[in-house]
Amino acid sequence: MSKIVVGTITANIVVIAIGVAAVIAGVGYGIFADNGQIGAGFLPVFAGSLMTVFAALDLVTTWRGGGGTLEELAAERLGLPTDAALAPAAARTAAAGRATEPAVGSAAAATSEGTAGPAAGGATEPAEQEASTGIGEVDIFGRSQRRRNQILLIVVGATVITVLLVPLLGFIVSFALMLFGISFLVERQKLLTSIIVTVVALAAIYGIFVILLRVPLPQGIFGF
Amino acid sequence: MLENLMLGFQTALTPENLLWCFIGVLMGTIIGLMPGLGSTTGVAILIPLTLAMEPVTALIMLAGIYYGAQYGGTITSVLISTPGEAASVVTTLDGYQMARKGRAGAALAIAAIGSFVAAIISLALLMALAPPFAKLALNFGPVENLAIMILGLITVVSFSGGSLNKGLMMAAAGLLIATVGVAIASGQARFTFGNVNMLGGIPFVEVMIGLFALGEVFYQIRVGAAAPIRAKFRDMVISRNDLKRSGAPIIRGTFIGFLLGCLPGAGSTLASFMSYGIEKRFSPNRDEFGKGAIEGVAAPESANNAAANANFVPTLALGIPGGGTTAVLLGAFTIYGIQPGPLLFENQPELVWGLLVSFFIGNAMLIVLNLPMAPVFAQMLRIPYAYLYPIILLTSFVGAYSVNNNMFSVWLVLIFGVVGYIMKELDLPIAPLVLGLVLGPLFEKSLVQTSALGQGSFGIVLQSPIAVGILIFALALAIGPAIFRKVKPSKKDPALV
Repeated sequence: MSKIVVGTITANIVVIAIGVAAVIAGVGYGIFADNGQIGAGFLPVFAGSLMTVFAALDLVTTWRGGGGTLEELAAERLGLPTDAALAPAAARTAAAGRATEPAVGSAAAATSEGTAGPAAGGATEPAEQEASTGIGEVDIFGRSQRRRNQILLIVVGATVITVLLVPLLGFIVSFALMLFGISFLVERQKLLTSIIVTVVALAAIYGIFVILLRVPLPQGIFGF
Repeated sequence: MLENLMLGFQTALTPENLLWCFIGVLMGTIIGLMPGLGSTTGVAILIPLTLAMEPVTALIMLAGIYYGAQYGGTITSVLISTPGEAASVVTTLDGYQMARKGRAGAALAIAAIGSFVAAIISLALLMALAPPFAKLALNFGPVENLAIMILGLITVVSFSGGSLNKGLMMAAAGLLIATVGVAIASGQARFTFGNVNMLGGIPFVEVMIGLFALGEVFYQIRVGAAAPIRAKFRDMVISRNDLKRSGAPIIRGTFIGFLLGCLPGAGSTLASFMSYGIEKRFSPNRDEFGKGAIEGVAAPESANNAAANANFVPTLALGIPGGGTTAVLLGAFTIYGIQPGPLLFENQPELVWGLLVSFFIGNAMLIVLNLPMAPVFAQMLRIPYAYLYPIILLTSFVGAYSVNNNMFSVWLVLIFGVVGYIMKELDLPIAPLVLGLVLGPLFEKSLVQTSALGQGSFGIVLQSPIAVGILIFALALAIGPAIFRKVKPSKKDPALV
């Protein structure tokens, strides 16, 4: 079973659980008022039962290996013949955008570091880009899927920690740390550029939100 | 009509509104061309910035972002074959091939011209159609409104792609989220878990920012960055032959786009796919499709722009969003204290007509901006995502905080960010959830009113022919295609495809 199937089934089960809980809570709130009119619990029960029913149906479909792409379904719904050529082609071209040919990759990576090398222009031409891949492969910076998953976890974690730090350090300082941390430590960008980007971004946010719009961003021990 | 237009021009042409319109379309273009930043995300992140503005100015700017992003999305699709907007996915097919043949300039020029023509035609239609629709809807009571809500929920679900079950499941989840807070029927607190912040309900903007902005950033991190390229712009001039070939596809695309855009939820993505499919089947140059046919750029680009404008027909006339971005815009209406719906044309003529006229102005600005400036915009693609996404995260959190000035909003954004990421990974459609969330309170209100009218019985629904008609139409939309599929399996005949 593929990861996406396991994920979908897990999501379905979670939705069913929430749906059932909503129905139970809704019954508690009272579906109907004393005079027979709609009560506070009606919509929770309604939404909860729909969630339960359709999540269960989706679970069965997923289990049997059903489903299709957006384009196929849209065409089908409108009663058009499914344009089989369209969907895969779209997917392929979209994937070509994250081309993974190592040669192109290094050229592009060079550009990303701020050196506007002419080599990057090469990415427009090569036909081998066509035969590229999507998720699950090495991206243009030569990162594996494993590494990208790691980065995702680190970024989500860093965001949680940043928000937790806001009451202590203040909004501006916490987010300055996050910006610098992500660009320099996680994304391995140049030290100077990382500092400049962080300072400019936070200064702009401070100018717009604190000075112009007078939003009282939480202050920390530094007093701003 | 003329009177209304004059009023609209008076409103839209004030220096302040002109300036914000320009800022909106400029930011829209940039937002549309950044891979992973769509118009929905852009509008959601920027709503907090507009809180201090006049409602009409704010809406002019936010709408500018919406249709500006359609132009920006094209640039990315053509140059790096990575659509910034879902509606631009089909443009990658022929647009990117044209770029590889050194005709990026021509592709972008025809896209801009097609979008502009489509915008002007569809705006004229929008101005002609929305007011009578609204007038019709003015006579609607709670019963008819209830039927309209059901129609809105069903169409969005059935058109929003992916499986019907998933769409309905997410729409129901949106409805459930909308029930958090004080119930209008009885004043009871629901699902607040003793948290004071939840009494007012789950705030809309925070959910949007989380689902769209954060969810997308997390998703992009896992998918990996797109390859930046340097495109060659030999010239933005297109040949007479190009124009001749594109004329009819642009007009066809416009009408397909407008028709689909009028249906709540069908939206611009579907419109662009359909118009591409139709051109591919009937064009005299169909052999060139997929290899850089200019019709393959002109038609879908016109269609998605026309659909974006047509989306405002249900949004303004009925208060039912046409798609994801108009749903967020409707949320913005309520934040400014404006009740969307048929009364809008009566009560706020200045706002409605000012907004509609600003679309003309904004589209004119966009074509002037896009024809000569596309190469400059293309340079934006060279900003590494490594810098871009931390800034998107920062802006999302600051924006969320500034709506209500509390940390609860920040946590909500984070939670819905993770939810949005999981939904993207699992291909669960976000638009129905948003729709459920927007329509939830209105749906409940019309339910309560209907049951009060009928003294506890819903039998009165059957006494309204309009409501019954709308419900039958909704039912046909929901189950019709499924039956159609079963009856005519030959449609899937490979020979036809």
